Amino acid sequence: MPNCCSSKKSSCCSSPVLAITTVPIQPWEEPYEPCQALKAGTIFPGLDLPFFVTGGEKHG
Amino acid sequence: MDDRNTLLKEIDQVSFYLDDLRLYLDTHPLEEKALDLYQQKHQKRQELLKEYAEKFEPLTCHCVDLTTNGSQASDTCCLGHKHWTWSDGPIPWETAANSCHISKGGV
Repeated sequence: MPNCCSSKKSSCCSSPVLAITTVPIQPWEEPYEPCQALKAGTIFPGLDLPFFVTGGEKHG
Repeated sequence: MDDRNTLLKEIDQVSFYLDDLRLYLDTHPLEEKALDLYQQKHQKRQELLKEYAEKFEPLTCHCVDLTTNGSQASDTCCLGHKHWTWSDGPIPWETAANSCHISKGGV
């Protein structure tokens, strides 16, 4: 499957795959304390996900 | 100088907290707990900014309080006189506060 995004030709994406996204409404949860939140990059534990290999105490 | 950085760090933290909480409230305007927390932390931030303005200099021009006339930590030529405190203190890009703040990992 060629890398379509870089190609200018409109016909190149012969079989684009559609996606249906479902984004649940974020439920309220007890947030972090401000000092931890700034390090984690979010106040919500549910959004504190390991996207980074380094950085922040949890992922450091 | 450490007191300045401690206060700056606290202001950073509570400001970030409010930003993230605002994003949540944008999509959940009726969430009671979030509203209570916002009020609480907003109050805390105002107190911290006021304390910083009294001890050092106003962090933003909206923090200028003409009843304070600078204090021990802020370098001002008008110490003790009622004056426009917005021009007190080190210029941000030359500040020892910035260098200490960044040298300790910034956060």
